[in-house]
Amino acid sequence: MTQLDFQAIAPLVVVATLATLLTVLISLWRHHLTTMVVTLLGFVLALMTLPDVAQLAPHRLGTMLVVDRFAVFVMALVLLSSIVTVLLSYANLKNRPTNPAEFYVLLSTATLGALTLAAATHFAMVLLGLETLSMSLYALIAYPIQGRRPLEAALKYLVLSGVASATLLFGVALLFVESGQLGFAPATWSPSFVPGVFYFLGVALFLGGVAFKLSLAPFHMWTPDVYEGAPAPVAGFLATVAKAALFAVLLRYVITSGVLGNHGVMLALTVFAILSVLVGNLLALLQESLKRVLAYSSIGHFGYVLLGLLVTVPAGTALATETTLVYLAGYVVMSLLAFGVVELVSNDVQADREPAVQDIDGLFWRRPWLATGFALALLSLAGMPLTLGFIAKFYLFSAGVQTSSWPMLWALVIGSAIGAFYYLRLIYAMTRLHDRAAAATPVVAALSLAGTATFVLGVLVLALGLYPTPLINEAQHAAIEEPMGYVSLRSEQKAQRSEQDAQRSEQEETQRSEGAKTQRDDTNVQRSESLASPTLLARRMDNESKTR
Amino acid sequence: MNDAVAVSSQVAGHVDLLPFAIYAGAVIALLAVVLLLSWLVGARTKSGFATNLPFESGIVSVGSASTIRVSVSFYLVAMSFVVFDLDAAFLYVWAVSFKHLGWQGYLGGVVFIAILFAGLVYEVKGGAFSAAARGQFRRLNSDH
Repeated sequence: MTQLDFQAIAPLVVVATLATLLTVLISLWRHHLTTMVVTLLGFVLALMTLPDVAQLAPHRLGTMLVVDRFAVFVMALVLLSSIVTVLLSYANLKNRPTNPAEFYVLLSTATLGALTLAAATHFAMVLLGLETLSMSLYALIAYPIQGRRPLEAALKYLVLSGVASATLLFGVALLFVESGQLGFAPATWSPSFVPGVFYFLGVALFLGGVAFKLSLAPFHMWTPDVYEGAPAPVAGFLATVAKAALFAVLLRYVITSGVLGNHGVMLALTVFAILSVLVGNLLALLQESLKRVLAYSSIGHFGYVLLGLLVTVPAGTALATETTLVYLAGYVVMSLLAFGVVELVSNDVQADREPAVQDIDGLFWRRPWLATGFALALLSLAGMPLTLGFIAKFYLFSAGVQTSSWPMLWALVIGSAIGAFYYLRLIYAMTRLHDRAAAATPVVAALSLAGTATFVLGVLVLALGLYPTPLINEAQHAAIEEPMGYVSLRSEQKAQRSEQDAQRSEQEETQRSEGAKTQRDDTNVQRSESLASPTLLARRMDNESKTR
Repeated sequence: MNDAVAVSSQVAGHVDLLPFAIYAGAVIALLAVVLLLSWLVGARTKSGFATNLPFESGIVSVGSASTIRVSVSFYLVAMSFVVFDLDAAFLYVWAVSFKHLGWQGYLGGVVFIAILFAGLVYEVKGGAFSAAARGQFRRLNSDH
């Protein structure tokens, strides 16, 4: 590795150093505030390296990692969410009898895993990052070991996520059986690669594992239980960092491998997406626990963003990354705001109970600022104008209209309509006036770390809702670096449109090359060129599966 | 060109699948033979007290496992052993190609060992290796 390589992965190096440093620090001197401040400084330092990293982008580290603008964007999201999680957790941990220090070590290793996933272009790196993230999450979820619910949630997550990891690993193994390669893009494997049975089995198992981790609909069962049991800041971390990192993997994989060109894969993912929208929104309708509502809502939101991904990828990678990254960024900010408010509400609730709808009854009268923040988060999640959620959803709609994908738009409209009901139901609960005595003396809580973080998030939701240009600019520049030996997707689109012309000219070329005695060389070149492009490869895969 | 690719893929598909099919068939056949032979040749006993006892290498088992309590610190020692053992395995690979890797490989190894050492310091300071729960882990253990 050269010095440039280290500069390109500076955020990973900083966070890895932070984790090691914290381990030594807490074994020598256990002090909660110091540990928290060191963690915070580490994350901020990692965040400050990002502008320099963006200057270097795109930068490859062998075939393992590509630090491109897309990776930098996702890393920024991950690090910001981690910083918010630290701020939200401090008060939560201070009130518990357990040792607080290890929490920050686990949080930094989890962040390290997520950062790795953001830049991974190789299945080995995906597994490494995924396991670093998941292993830390098991312990983070179970961190309040006095309670029954966190342990139950952690055990469920451990078993189910372990199965999903095994499924994913088996899929990767089958891909390796087929090709002997572990890079993302079949185009980089070998010029004569032809996908066989194991290839599609491998892709199916890999996507199934990823869908589980993203809690897409047929694989969503674990989500509400785990979110409900986990402490609110950790649930927020699960809903934002873990999902954003995994979605980055999914986006990079489908774009660089061209696997969406296959009808079966496209159909399966479309079913996942539409089911997620329906199941997530329908099951959220009558939930009493706030965390369960947010869990189901996150299932629905990932259905939306997967739909956005599916309709935009065939129309070009730039549109796909822009649309999904704007939505992802919006989702991360408003989810963190919602979980931040839930964390603040749960401070008022008895320790053995999770915050429910009844706990926010009349919140507008009792704690007006907190209620305003929650209302803002819910309106934004519902996609009301003037909030960040509207911009995000608007992007999805315009992408759907641009590509004239009407089923996707229908799913989006129906999902949003159902969603509006349960978001507004929570806002309605906050406006009810039951306890006049409490309403007479509204509490404005003293400024705490969690409160400040939540306030800043609330301002961000409004500000970016009114003036989204900075976010959109960043998302527009967040291009995914194409793997080596790769012809750009857009030129393939043109090739597909004039397929017949291309075939005709191909025949002419072959005839010409026959005349020119250099037949073998020419055909080899043509072959490697045509296979190097994902769309053509995907089309061939499709033909293969049809002839079978 | 396209025809050639299609033909080669068909051939490749058959060649890939055939050993797998033979292997799967052999596994099923072996299992069937083992089950069938033991059913045909094996001795028949009526189910009684002795047949329901768990087989522990011929020794009659004593007591029940649910009443035995093992100190959690043994678990910590066992887990640390697995972790450091696995990491030592990586160092073997490093040591074999030590000269070939040069200074960069040396530095990589040093960073790896330093991270392991940080973990070791944490465990020793926390009292993970003391027979009785002491030090910083005591608070965790005594909560229950």
